[in-house]
Amino acid sequence: MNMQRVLTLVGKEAREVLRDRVYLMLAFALPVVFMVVFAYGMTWDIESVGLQVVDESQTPLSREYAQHFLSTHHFRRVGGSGGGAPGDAALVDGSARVVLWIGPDFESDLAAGHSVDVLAEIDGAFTMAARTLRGYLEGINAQANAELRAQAMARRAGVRGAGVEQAIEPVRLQTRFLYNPDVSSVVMVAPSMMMLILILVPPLLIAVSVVREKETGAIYNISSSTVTRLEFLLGKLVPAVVISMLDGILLWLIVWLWFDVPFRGSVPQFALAMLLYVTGTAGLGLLVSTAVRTQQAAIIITTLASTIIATQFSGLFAPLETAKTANQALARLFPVADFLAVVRGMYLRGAGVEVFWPELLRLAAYAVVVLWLAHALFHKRSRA
Amino acid sequence: MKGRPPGTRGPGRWLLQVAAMVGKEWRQLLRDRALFGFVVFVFTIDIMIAAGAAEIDLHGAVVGVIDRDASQASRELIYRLRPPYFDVRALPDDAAVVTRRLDRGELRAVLTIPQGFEGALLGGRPATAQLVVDATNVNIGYLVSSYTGRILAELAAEMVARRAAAVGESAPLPEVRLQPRARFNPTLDQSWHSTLSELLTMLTVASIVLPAAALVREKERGTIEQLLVSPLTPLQIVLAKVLAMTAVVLAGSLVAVLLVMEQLYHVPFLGSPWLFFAMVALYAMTASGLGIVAATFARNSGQVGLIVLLLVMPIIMLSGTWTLRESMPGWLQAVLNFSPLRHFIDIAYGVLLKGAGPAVIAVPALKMSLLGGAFFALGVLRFRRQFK
Repeated sequence: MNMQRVLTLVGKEAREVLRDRVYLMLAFALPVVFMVVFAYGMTWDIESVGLQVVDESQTPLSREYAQHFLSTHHFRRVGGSGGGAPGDAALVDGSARVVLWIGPDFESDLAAGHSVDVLAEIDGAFTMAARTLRGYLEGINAQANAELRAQAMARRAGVRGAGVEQAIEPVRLQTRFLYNPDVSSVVMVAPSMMMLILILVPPLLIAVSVVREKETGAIYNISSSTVTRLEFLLGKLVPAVVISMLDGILLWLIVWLWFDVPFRGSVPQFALAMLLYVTGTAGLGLLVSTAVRTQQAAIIITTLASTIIATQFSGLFAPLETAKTANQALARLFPVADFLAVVRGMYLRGAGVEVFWPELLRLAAYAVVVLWLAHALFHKRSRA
Repeated sequence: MKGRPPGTRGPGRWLLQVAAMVGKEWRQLLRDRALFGFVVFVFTIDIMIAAGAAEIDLHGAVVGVIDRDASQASRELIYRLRPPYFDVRALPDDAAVVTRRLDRGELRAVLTIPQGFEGALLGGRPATAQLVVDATNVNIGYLVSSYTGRILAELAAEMVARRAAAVGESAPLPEVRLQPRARFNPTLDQSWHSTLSELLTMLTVASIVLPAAALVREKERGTIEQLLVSPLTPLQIVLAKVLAMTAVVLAGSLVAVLLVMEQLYHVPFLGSPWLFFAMVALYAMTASGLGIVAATFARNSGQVGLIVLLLVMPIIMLSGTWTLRESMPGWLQAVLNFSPLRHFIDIAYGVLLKGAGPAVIAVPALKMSLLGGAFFALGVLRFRRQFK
């Protein structure tokens, strides 16, 4: 490999990039737009979710019970509170995600010392949200019960104060959330978006690079020159990796300065992880570019593939441990889950290479393998 | 244009010209083997992969326990933190060790059972147990804390009731038992949701990127000039690209829903299939309109890829398949009204999983059509202006 030739090729590619103003602007605007929009939008908080109360008993106690749910910022009331309201229709048309059915004997049963059932119908079509909603509903119900019991105890035995507390909650559970004390979605999501954005953008930056030369015939200049295949590919790869690293730094600054998520790890170590990752993801784009015959195919395949990899194999939405074994094995073939673990660990827990060396090794291995594949698939002369 | 009966005039001829163009698009797609193979993959194997996707639930969450009480009650509590949700590890009562293991991400949470735990449950002084949760992942952190809280509360309630029974207080305190039930998916089978959401994602990406890339390709190679000097109008050219790709994604959806989702994963199909696939076609055309608009802003393939990505990602990430739309900030919800997927999600989930009829989906369908019409008009207008 001749460094001089590589540098010349890199210079030529860089000039091409610099001359395409629209492309250059998009290469930097895309990550910024994505970061801002996703960090605000991809929230796992439960806020003002539609809840319809079908209260067949219409008593002060039943209204007080329903109020436990509606007074939180998690839920907002939809539909009428009248007895015969069509609760099921609200679930079908999506105006409510939860319907709470309170039976006619709610107050009288409780007053008589019997337990009562309240049915909470949750929109299960959106399965992930349904599980989270169920947790919130049960939590609020537990609070409502604690109050009810305290009142009942006070009435029954005249027990008050500490005695009531002892009987209702003999052991209190004090929970402290580490690394993200406010349990804020943004703290989790904003750093994770680096993983997402840096698998989406770098492959597309490079996707047309090789196949464009094939389509326009410019590749013949290369096939008759002394430039080797490796030098040619490096010339394509380096500018894309440089732009991607600049994007990464930009994202890091936004997460830190705009979203106020403190970075607790070591900057050089994180930069190394990012360099390995973007080399791998840009390499993926290069691989597609060498494998296909038209730019059209390169754009379409790269967009679909990076979307699939980012959403299916990263564990961004839900932890990969809960996925089927085959999916976990497939996820191992891509660098997204490893980089996500590194991002979250380094950002929030302040861990470093001493913890993440296996992930870093795998990221490096991924970059090497994908570039080797691209090299193996690339021929200076089409064989058709 | 062989095969056109001579002398055909008016709308018949106009449509035949469009049909010929559609045929050309199909042939091009079929001949590009890599591309065609990938389109097939997207609507079959990719949906199967989605069926095994991860879900937000606890699965072997590693919880460290420091048992300072070492009593029967504390052992009972540890026993109840059981698989498949939890994976309990005994920890030494040493803050330095615990902190290091949390920092390394080896533990999702640490539960400290206080001295006097059993005593508190048997009627002595109240005690406080401590749970330290790694909230790096908000969902998991929340689940660990709520599951642990529930298990502890159940144990306490049982012991209090047992004690009350022992002293002859038979009547337990009344409580409200909340019975959560998942409508439309009683067992919360994750594959129903994840296959459908993956189909919608792929439908969106494909509907936008396929016509956009096809149109830019003609611009870049100059073949668009040939088309424009032919008897075809810009509207016909654009319409042909859209119809060709709509047919492709409609065929893909038929395979994905009827073969993969229904046969392999037994996803219930409650509504009318005709209504569903008609809506898929309408959605594909709407999204294609967006692709055409994107293509008019790009001069080469490199640009169109990035422009498409700029449109597609916010649409698929934020329209409400993975996260709840209503929890987003108001300004973002307002912007999302321009996302066709935001309306199509209500339609697709409604018809397929909830059995919604035409009356229920009329409003989102109307909004989606309006968006589609607007994208289309803008696309054709810009396209025409560029080539005048």
